[in-house]
Amino acid sequence: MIRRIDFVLFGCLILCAIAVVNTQHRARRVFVDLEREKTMGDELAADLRRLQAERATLAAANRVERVAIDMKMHLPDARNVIVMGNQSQDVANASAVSSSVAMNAPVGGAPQSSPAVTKPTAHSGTSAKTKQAVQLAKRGNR
Amino acid sequence: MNYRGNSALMLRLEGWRASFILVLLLGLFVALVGRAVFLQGVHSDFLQHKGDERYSRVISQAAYRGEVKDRNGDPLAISLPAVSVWASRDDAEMNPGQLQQLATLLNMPADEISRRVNEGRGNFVYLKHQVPQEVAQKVADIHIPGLFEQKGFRRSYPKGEMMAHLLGYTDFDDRGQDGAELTYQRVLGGMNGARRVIKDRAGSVIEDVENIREPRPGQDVVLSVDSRLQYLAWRELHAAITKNKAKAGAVMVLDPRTGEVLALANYPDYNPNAREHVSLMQLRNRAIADTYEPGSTLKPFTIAAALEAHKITPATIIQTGNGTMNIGPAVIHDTHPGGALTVSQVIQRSSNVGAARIALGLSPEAMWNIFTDVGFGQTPKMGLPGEAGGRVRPYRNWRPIEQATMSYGHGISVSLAQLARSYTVFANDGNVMPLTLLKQTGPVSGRRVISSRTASEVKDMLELVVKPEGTAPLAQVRGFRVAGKTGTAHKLDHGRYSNRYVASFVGFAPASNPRLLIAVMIDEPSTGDYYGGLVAAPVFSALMSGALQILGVQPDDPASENYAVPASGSAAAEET
Repeated sequence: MIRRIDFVLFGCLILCAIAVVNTQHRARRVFVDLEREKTMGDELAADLRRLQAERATLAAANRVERVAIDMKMHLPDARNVIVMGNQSQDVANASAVSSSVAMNAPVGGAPQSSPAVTKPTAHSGTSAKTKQAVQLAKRGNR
Repeated sequence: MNYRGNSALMLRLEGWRASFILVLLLGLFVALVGRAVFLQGVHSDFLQHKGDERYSRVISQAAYRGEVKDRNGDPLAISLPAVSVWASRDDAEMNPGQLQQLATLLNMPADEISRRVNEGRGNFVYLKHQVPQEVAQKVADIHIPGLFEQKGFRRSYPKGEMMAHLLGYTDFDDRGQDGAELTYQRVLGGMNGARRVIKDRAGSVIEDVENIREPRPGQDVVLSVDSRLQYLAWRELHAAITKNKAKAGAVMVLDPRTGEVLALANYPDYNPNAREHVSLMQLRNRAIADTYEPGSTLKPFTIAAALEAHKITPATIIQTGNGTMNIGPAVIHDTHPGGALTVSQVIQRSSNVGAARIALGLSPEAMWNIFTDVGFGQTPKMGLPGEAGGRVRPYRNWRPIEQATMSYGHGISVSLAQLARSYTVFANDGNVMPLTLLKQTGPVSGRRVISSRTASEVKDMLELVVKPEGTAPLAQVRGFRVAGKTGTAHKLDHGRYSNRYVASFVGFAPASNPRLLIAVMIDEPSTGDYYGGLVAAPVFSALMSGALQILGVQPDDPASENYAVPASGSAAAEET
């Protein structure tokens, strides 16, 4: 004899089975999404590396110097350098020295400060050394 | 309807027929159950395997090789995703148009590609390694059947040739082959991971089954190098090589307080990003792998040994007479007659006769000890492949003439790295520092070789070398006290000294508290000038002044007007 409760349980069983199938299907879809996001993450990480390498190449000292020379900047010669007094050792790492002894500031927003370059002065004019530096800078950037 | 009349229904069947059918059906059922048991139980592993093969895959997870960075965190070597293009000889088909397109993209001749694809044994052939991803995408877009891509990495060196020798390079599998890449392979190298997944019909992963191995990316290595100083060193070395039409050269910059290598440049060099046509000459890291007779740069050690043995003081008078000295059949020459010189002047004017006289007052053992203590004859172990140890012969076999020539750096061979390290003794109060390529964070302890007093006495003498009466006024740096020593050595050619030279200069600044130690070596300058004071000292000066500016070192001699150096032609000549 089939009781009413059996029908109810049977109905539950069917519902559960369908729910399992449905959940499994959704789990897979979500997993596929997760994989896609992971792949995208990997691609972005690769992009980051590529951009870092690119930035390092663009900010390499030889290129910065070449650009500086193209902009008609050059190293200050000895007569244009004022050496600061000897106050205390190892103090003026950035402030005093960079303003007077060396133009240590980055050129053109480059993150690494590279060999000093300043605007042309009264004594300016492209020296033989500067020309040589241009050649070297070009060579180095091949 | 009357069925009773149907005679077929009236037929009496024999009993065994029903039993037969029953047994037959039961038998079939048993066979079915047996088969099921066989498939599910006995044979299940094989079937499971076959099933897995159809949808489960082990995919590898690539691990990046670690980055190499300079001491300021600037990337020097970085791995980028790249692709190896390979072809299946059986399946590859391309028309001439596609071949030409492929050749252009891969930057290789078309007949080279068709030769590789059509000739040779086996099905699998690589066409090109380490193709950048953008190019690989374009190659894939041509849709050539039988052409496949395999993911991998390509090492990129943003600083190009200026760091080439220091960093070395990696092979197609991203394993270090030379330089720091080889030395720190164990740290840099990553371990690829693997995981088992289930893929659907479209090939996308739908379920993770198990993680077989976690990918382990390589760790970054922070070198002691400062890429700004490295660039200066590279630039000044190139300028000097060009100016003097020299064959080769090397420059090394150390922090004498820690033994850290801040820069190491060589000429000739190569571009590590394009190594197709690189010769062995270009690959050679001369600063560490080549040894040469250092010449006068060794005199300070002879003097230091004599000072330690209390044979002399800096003011002791040494007779150099007319600039020649006979030892048995051999004659030692100075380039200029010196007369009576103090020990300080022997260094300042680099008198061979003076150095030889001082050496002959010493025991061979005392000289050998100081040479060995500062590291000559032993590999510096700074951590680069191919470091040379040079040669110091055992003192028991020294003849007097050999002891005399060794006092001014002949009959002994050293590398530039060894020479640079040895001078840390004078820059560091008598302690020699171990060389290292890695950035040091804690204090580094050196090894005491000579007393602090001797070190400071020799340092004072080395400061005289760059004065106008010395051999290297061109080594002066405006605003700083500089100490250093020139060297000019004849090169050996088939066992005889030739008229080819190695010019060198080793020095440090600021002399009051040395922050940088620079060693310069120029091999075979060929424009007439060959003295260390004329060829190598200007490189030192330019590099030192630039480097001190970059590091923001406080001048220790701001009042000096020492920029008024004599023109190069009138700079004091130097003995070999």
